[in-house]
Amino acid sequence: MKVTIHRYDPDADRGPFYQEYDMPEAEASQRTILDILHYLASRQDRTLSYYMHSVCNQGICDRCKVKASGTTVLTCAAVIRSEEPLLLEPAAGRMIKDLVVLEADE
Amino acid sequence: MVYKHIDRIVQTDVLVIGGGGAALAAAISARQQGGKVTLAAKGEVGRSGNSIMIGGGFGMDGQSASEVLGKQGVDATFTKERSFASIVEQSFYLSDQDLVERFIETLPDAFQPFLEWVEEARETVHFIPQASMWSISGRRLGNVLKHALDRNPELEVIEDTIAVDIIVQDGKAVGAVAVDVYSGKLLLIEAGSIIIATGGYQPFSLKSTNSDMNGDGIAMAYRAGAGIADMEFMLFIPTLLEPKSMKGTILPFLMTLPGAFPPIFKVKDGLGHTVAIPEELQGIRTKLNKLVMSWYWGHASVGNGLYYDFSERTDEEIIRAFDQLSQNYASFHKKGTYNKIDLTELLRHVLRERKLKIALGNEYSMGGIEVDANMRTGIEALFAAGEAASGLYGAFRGGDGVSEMLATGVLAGRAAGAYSRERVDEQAERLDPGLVDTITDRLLEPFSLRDGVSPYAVRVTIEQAADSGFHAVRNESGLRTLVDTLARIRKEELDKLSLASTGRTYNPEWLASIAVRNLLDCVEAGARAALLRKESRGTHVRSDHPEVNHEEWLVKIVTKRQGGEMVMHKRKPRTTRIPLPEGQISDIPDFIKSTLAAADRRSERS
Repeated sequence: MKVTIHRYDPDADRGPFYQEYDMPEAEASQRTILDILHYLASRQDRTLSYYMHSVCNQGICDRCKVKASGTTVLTCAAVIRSEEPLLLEPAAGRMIKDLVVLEADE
Repeated sequence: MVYKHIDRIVQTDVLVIGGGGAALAAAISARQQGGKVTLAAKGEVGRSGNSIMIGGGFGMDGQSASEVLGKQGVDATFTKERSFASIVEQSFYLSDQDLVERFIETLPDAFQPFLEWVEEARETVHFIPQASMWSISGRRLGNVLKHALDRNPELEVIEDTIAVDIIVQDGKAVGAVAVDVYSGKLLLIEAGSIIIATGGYQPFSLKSTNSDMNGDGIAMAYRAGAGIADMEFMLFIPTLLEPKSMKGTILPFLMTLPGAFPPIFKVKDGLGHTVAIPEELQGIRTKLNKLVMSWYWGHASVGNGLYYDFSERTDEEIIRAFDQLSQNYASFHKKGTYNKIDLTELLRHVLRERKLKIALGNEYSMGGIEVDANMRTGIEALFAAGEAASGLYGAFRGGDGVSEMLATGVLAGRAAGAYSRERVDEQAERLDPGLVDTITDRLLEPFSLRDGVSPYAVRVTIEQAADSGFHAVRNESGLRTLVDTLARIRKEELDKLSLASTGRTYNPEWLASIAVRNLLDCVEAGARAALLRKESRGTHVRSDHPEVNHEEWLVKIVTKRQGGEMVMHKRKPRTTRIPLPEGQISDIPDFIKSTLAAADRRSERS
């Protein structure tokens, strides 16, 4: 499965870009977007950043928002149900790095 | 700046580290003593830590609920005395009894303001009179904490900040170094006293708790020279494995609670054999039920896995059972859901598969920083509260985690607040910059190393080692392998951590380097204590030593750092009213039976 992710590291990059990853179907199907991000960060690209500190993984803390193919979701609650390519971008707010944002009220 | 790497300095009278119930109760109670109070939380207060992960509620003795809080319909014969006996017995007598007494005395003071916040915030709690217990969901508990913070605007709050180490100068805690998660900037927080309220530790790969349960505060206190105790006692409850998208939810535990879900499934091991619990240990309505499951299912699941089997039930029975589950949580969660989980989807899964794959997941650690009855640690000006502390629940938590966090938070806040107030006129010692530089040099080291080991990989190694050697049922050879693995990681990998990206802005791999260091300190203390303890007690179950051996092992194992080494010693629990028993009991189930019988006798007498 193709996963395209918004990348930007203010300490290293001149500007934002999109990077494409290949996920094994078996590791993506019926998993959450957070599972997919964990998989990519640990197996393919350790520089990948997304909301990752003090994560509840149960849809409780409400802090792991991203835009998945245009729709804002919680990474821990959004489940992959098709083989359609996935586009992940930062949710609304001040973009800090890759998929990490600070929401307006924070 | 006199410091090599510090970007910002904060000065305060009382520093509270943590973002959950214990931290907030401590901060508010410290603030009532006057002085400046600063709360440093890893995430957002009320939206991080393990307070928001709870699946139950908080209770107290019926006597105080009736006499102090004026609750109607409670069982006032469940006196403070009986509550004390119940906690101490269920701790397998490892509770420090002076702390248990102080805890019970403090509960009304802790609950009263909390219940006011609940009301003001218009949050839902259900009071269950017979149990003198309030039930609440984690999300709503978080809302109450956020409200409490709004009510106390004079508290200085620094969120999304990870405390890294405590600075100890001349034997006294004087401050902490912390990292701002988003910017990567380093903070020095100078404080008159410090309260650690950072929660417990959880080293296994299956997570039902918050992702960052690394035992940060426990490890910081250990490195600062404080004793940590009872680290071998980890509490397990049934946790979901599949469907994979729902992995980690504690719904399988909730499905064992009478009233929440009817008993329509059999528990089977991976070979399809039913895992039977003897009739006399079925349907226990106290926390000991967790220990019963942990013992029987823990023995059964070694290598085989576990599942709830619904194959003998009709569709209608299963649908009705899930209706009941959904109804039971309807007032706390969106209709038909439990947290993020769509219960209809889970029902469809069960109807299709006729089974639910589960495992025992670690929800809580009894161990933590050794404290006296005022939550003082062995280091001057350093206090601990909540799950990060040890001593209240010993080898098994017979009471509630939320009650613990609120009451011990209040106690720690009072003590630290008073400590700082008494010294308000004293000139603060000049901080030795070398102490700060040592901490920050070490913290930044992974950025300068090349071709080392990724902290991500080290975390996986620790988790896998804990899964195989430190789980619900342990033995000599498994523990020895674990201890060796951890020693190897410390020797070969901990000083060779390196990172893929070199910037400090939100760098999760760098944060993982802080986490693995803490986790390693905690699990090493736990594993070595578990290897030492050649008996079974509470949640520490040894298949090679099933007996509860009061003769030799009615002691707490305390770990300290001396000369850079991990050193362990044993001490008797502090007793006040209940003498320590003697002799041996053949195994954990027999101990549970005698505890239940003792509770029945007390209940009949009153």
